[in-house]
Amino acid sequence: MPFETPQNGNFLVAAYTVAAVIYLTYAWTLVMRARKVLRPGSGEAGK
Amino acid sequence: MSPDLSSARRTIRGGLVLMTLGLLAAAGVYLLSIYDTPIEARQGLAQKIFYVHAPAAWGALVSFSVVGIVSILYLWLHDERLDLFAASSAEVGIAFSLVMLTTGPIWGKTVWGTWWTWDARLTLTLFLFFLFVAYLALRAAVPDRGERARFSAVVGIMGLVLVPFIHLSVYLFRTLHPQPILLKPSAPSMPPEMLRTLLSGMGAFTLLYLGFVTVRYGLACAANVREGSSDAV
Repeated sequence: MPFETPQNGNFLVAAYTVAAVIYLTYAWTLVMRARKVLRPGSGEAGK
Repeated sequence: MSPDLSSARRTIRGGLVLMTLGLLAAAGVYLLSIYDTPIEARQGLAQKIFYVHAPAAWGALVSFSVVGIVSILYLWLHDERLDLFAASSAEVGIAFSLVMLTTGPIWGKTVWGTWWTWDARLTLTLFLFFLFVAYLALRAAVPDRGERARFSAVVGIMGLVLVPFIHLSVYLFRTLHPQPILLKPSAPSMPPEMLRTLLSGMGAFTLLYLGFVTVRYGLACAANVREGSSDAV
């Protein structure tokens, strides 16, 4: 008996969006923290 | 031996390059999956969640395995850099775990009809996630560097012990979760076009892991230098 492929593209969009948001948010937090360390003059006072 | 600030900055710069390449590669996997990978007939488009979910699971298990292995090395060698690297890998592992634990239920809802089931694979994975959240909480709570490194190394090693059980849980227990497609003794059980996308995903997200962990390690080294002997990483 032939079957019909389910129409569930919205689940794909939801999963890909959630994954992208998590990765990009984490990357953004790392970049923000890195900017503070890489800023000229930062850190020397604490040495 | 402790790293200095200039080497921490070099590490951060290198990590940012790796992270950017990793994010671009991940975007490439998205495009490859959507536009150039066949649709699985019985599961429909939702099956393509696999190409993000499985690499995230891979990234999480690699991260937590690295924490355990590096923690063993720390207890043996007492090199502070190993402790900082373990902490960095744990944080990155939590990011990958979050992707794994959110994309999995979305896929599960379409193929199993339920968002979550308390079977062995899913429950052990959730425990591993909580274990590494506790690992970071422990690090934040213990002010003494030496004690913090020793205590967290023990927790990290316990996480490493859990990793093989998670991989083998689909063989050891009755579970809804599918058996391994790639990491198994026999040949991969999927068509070549799908396997290509999966392997690309594994490569891209491994690169992303390396980028994340390198930046995070550089930040941990910089914090270590700046905060002297009374810091909390």
